[in-house]
Amino acid sequence: MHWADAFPNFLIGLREGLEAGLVVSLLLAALRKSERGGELGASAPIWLGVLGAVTVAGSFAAVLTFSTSVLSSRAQEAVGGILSVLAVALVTAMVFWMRRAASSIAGELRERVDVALEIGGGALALTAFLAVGREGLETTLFLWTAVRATGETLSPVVGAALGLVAAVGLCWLLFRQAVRLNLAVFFSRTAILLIVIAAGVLAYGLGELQDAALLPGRAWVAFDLSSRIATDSWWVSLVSGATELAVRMTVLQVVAWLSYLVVVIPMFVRAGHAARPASGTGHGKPVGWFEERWVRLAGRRPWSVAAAVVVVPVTVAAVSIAVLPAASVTSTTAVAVTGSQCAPSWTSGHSGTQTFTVTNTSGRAGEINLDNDQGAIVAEIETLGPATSASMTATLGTGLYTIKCYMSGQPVRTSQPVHVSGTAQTATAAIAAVSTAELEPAASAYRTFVAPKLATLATQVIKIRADLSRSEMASARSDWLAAQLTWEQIGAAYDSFGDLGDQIDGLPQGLRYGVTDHDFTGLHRLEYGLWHGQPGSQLVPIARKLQTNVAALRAQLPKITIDPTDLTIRAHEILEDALRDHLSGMTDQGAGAAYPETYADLQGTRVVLDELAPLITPRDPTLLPAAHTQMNTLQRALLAARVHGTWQTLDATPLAQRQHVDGAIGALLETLSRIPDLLEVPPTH
Amino acid sequence: MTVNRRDFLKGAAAGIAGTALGGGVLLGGARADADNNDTAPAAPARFAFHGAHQAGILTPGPAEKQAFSCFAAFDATAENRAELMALLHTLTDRARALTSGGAAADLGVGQPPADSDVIGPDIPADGLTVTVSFGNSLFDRRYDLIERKPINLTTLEPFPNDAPDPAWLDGDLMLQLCAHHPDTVHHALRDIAKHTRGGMQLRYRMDGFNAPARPTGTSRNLLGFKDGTANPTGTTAESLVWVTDPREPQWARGGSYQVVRIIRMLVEFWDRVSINEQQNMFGRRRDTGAPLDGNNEFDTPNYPADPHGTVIPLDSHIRLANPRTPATANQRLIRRSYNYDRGVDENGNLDAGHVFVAYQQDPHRQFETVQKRLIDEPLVDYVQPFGGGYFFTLPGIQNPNDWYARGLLS
Repeated sequence: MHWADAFPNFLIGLREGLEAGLVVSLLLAALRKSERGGELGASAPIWLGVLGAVTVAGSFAAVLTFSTSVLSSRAQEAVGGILSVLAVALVTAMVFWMRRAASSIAGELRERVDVALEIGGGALALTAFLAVGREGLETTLFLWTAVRATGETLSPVVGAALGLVAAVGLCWLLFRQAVRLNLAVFFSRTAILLIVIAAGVLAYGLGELQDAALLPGRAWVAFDLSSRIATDSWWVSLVSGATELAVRMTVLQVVAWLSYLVVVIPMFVRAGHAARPASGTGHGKPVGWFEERWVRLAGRRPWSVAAAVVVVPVTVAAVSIAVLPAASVTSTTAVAVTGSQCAPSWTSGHSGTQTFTVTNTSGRAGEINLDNDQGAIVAEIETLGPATSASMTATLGTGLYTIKCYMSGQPVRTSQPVHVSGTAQTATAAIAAVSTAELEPAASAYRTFVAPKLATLATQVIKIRADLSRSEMASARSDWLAAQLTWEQIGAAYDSFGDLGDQIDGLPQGLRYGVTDHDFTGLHRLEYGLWHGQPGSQLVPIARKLQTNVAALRAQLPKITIDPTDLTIRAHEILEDALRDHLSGMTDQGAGAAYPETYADLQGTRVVLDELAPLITPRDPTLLPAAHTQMNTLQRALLAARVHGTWQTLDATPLAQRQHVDGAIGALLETLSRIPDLLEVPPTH
Repeated sequence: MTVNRRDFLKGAAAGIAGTALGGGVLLGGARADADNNDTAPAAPARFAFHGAHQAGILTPGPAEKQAFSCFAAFDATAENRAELMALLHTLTDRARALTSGGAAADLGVGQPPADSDVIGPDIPADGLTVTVSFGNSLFDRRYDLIERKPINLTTLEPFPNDAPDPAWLDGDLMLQLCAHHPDTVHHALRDIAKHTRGGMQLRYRMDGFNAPARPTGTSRNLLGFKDGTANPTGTTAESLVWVTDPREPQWARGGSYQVVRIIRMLVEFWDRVSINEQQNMFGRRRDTGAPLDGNNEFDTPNYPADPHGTVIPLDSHIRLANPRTPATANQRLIRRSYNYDRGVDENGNLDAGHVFVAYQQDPHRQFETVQKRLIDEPLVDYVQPFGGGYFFTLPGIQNPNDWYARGLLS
């Protein structure tokens, strides 16, 4: 709620309301003075006419809102621009008309009432309807333009409503003759303010037409202060709200704004000088033949007329809205996170695809979620910095939705639940958030899985060392492969092992002296030696060091925390590593074990998926069945690449078989890559 | 109704003035739109060959760099210093001719034509720049240059997480060729190689391309992020890039240190990473290029306001690379990088990546210091630096009688 944005609409509501109210007051006064004024219910036709006018304005508002929300953004800009210019023309005409008519209107209306009373109640209703309806349409148009220009619904509507309430109150007091108001002075004072506001609306409308490429010059910018001043500061919103001006304006906008003011204000002042001598002498113009004909037609059918003026606009509006396609095209809702509130201005919504632009004025960073009534996430902005805006898009079905703001150092705040209604059939699938606590069982189960694997690895390393010290190189090579595969199977825990992990499984890449570097050690160092003819005696110290490191890791394991959120990422990353490192040949130090290593990684991935299954399945029942099918395909492709049950090197494998493996792992990875997003833990900013 | 003549004239004048104003504003707007729609002001057809510094570093600068490039590393095969000087004379002549444009010499009927005609008989300059740099390995006993080596020139030592491939590392000379079209780059390399055979031999080469702004601002790398947003410009760039250190040999002043890193990007893997993780790795929004604490690409990240990395993670690329503190201000460097895309790897994945090219006064103070901060950044899982090296970019060719490395060799 910005009072600055509400002000111009307050003024419009007050002006238009006062004009309409005065017409109604005068009609009522004329009626009272006539011979039938005292009859019970004599004023009913007037009120029916007013009701009809309000219905027309409301229907017009509904058609504007619904019809333009389904347009493309460019068409919305075009319609918004054209209607803004139209609104300016109407407001300008109204300002001049009131200046001329303020003094003569009373006599004019009295004449009409007399004519109407002769004909019947229907004519009276129609007269009231025509007098008030025009003001209603003007108000609607101006208000709709203001809502578009400010990108916010609440402030302009509240402003206009307050203006109308004030106008009605003032009219009532005037009618009761409780206050006296020099209407000519009031209208001319407020007129100057209105002209300034209308100039801003004109500039805004032309800017929209330029954005829609209906007018040239979008790139010819007169000034752009957006990088120099804080656009969310109070004084900028005050100035831009009260004048409808923006921090970035094109030359056309500036020229139009200045020209309008330079032309219209002097004209208005001169019109005032010209009008004054004539004031008080004005007489109502005769009722036009066209209007008279309608009035006669309406005749003595007050209820039919009343029904027609109420029902017809509503029907027309309903039909127009029904004929238009449902709002399937994105529409934008602007909301804000403030220091104390989360999206307070979001109060209503309709189904279909929409974008929420969230402006953060809270001074803190955080995450914004759009939740459905199950508390599942439909859309999110992961990081929203202080004093920034970002958007999230979702397709909403019918139901209750809530925006949640997780700002750092603050309790989670939520918007009021908003009931979204409409006819859109599809909705974005919502994902239930996962808490760290929910992931904990999977992480601890994984630790339980790792411990015996490390025990096996320790035994296998001892065997390698024994082989090496006996110079039984063939056994050492097969024992090396067994140890390497054991290690591969616990791939989901690598990131938790730190330096020890690198010591056990490090690669020569990135080391200054490559394979001869002193820091090259562990399983791959043994592999290099075993397949490059190095003697057992040279490799024994390396096996001994590996043994020490594995023992150290086993000792540390109870203290190592496996980050539960790592586990969701490793669901696809174990095989990403297999593709990147093994199947590319990058990690090969001579054994050519890419396929058995990938096979072991696949088994490791199966373990992780089994432990995450209770969380994955409720969120997406199709994912795991699809992944299992693809895992089986990969497993078959890997096993098929063996010859007589023996693993082959990459180079020895025919291209067609390699392609089967690469294709199967790629397809599986596309499926598995959804898991980290599916099981995302909301931030603890 | 009678019309007063004065009123009529006033009205007519107002009408004419209004029409002129409206028409002028609309026409001016249409022209501004048309200018804005062009990809940029037309790129210059040629860049000056002579000057205090070589072209292809700040002329044109990183933001306006030519769309296509080639990084060709050569090894010198010249037998001795005299042959090396002859090689550099030839290289100078060819670079001068190619960057100026014009028809090739007519060699008569007694031999094959002088030029390949790959870019037509009247060779266009097409924005070509040739930037010549020497590797550490050139300054050896072959040419008796050990004593004259720039003080900060060393061999690139692989960083942890690199995947170095010796076939793609180092080289005696590095030629950076940039032009507006790929055929011009190809033509220039082919012409230079033809004229320098026997003096130097190609070791490896990587072609690169610079993407147009999508949709605006700095161009994107193949990870989808805008790359080079924070490049220093203007006098700041000048003060960071040219060698001025009095301890450097006299001949090296006005030169620069070039770092080339050929980096494979694992784009399939990258595309399987959540947008949040991607953005946190860079510290910028992928769509706009804005830092995560800002709204626009060129907003300055405010690290003091975010000491714990709540908004821009402490280990994000932009934060580690440029912490924006007074102490790290002189570590900034000029990046003039290109994308590469050259086929398929052995697994059927796209073989694409980035030719990271940086110019600076001192590679230890600048590139190495920055790169050491970046050693274990999360991005390393998705990129594999496998080639390139450190080179010294020679000072400019001053005049038509000057030649590459004259100050070094004579």
